[in-house]
Amino acid sequence: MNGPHVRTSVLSRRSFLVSAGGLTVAIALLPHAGHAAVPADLPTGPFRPNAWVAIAADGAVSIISPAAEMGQGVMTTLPLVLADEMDADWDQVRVVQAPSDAENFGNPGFYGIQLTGGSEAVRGYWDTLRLIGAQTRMVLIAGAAAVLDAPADELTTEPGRVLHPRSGRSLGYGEIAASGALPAPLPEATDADLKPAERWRYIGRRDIGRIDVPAKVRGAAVFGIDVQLPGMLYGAVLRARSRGIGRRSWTTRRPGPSRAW
Amino acid sequence: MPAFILNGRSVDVDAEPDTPLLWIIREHLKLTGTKFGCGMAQCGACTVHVDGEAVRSCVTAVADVDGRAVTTIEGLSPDGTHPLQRAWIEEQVPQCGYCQSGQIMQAAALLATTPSPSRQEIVDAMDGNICRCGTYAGIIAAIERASREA
Repeated sequence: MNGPHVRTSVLSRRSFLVSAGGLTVAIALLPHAGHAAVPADLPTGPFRPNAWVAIAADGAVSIISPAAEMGQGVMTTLPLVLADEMDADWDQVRVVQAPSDAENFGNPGFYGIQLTGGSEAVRGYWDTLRLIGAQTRMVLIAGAAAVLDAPADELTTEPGRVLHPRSGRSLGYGEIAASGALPAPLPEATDADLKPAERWRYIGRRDIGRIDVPAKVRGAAVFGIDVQLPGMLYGAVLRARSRGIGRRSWTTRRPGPSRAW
Repeated sequence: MPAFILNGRSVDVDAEPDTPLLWIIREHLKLTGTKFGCGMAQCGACTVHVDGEAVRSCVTAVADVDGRAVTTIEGLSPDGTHPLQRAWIEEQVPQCGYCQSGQIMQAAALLATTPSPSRQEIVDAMDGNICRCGTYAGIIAAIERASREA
């Protein structure tokens, strides 16, 4: 399977940009941020909307979900694919709904449109999310290599940690993020860096619950109809009782419609 | 000016007596867990409890609940851990989730009167709650689980 080529260039000491075809990705290590639960908590700066992954000093990993959750589970599945490749600890992952931004979060397998449907979400984002995950893991390993003063090829990962088996030392992802140690030039991920299927920890598991379910059983999930804005008007179609009858007059009670066509 | 108990709290609302209870809950009191589905008591998405009984709030006038106790999905348990809510998560019931508040409120009214319903009793009690995603098998499994584990 030929995934998109991932290219990196250093933006600053603590953030970097990956371009993968039409996809622009920024990954930032957040030394002082708390748990990132909403896009506003993602890295600031010119590339802020492009962020897919943010790691806080406490080890919390925020991952963007680029597709709309309509009940098929993509809000869980897509970040899970990325999390598997980067060896994140799923219990430490917070999913961040992507903003409307096709340039950065469009589906590479669906003409780059940020559209959810047609059973295209997992198929279309699959290669990209795996490469971004692998890239993130390589950056974490390189960062750990600098902190531990150990060769990167002697390091391995467990969920949320980089290990140096030879010396028995290890670093949590949050510790690496807090150290601010980012390699330059940044490593590049290719298909060769992806995990073979037998090493997947999360992909294919049916016992991992969907993250959207708890809010849906508490009545806390927000649907389109639940959004209320100041001064918002509601539109409704009033249909004639039988064919051929036009609108003649309104006999509504207060407050009547603001406008009628 | 109708007054009633909503999730354990007294509320007064400034509304016409024939205003649908659903409007009062969603628009006046801003509890949006209860959903508008059809507006004609045909789908069950707006199901709430009035004095413990499952009713369709879209066709219930607010005047009819004057002085009575209304419970919505937000008030089913203090922290969202009613046995049905736990079972719903265990069984991963919802898909889109839109009808699920009504489904859970209908099921809660069933278990309140029939703690160990048969499968047929569950099917009969849930008959008026429609799910466009078709989560019915999960709903039945979750009610059975909740009745076992409650």
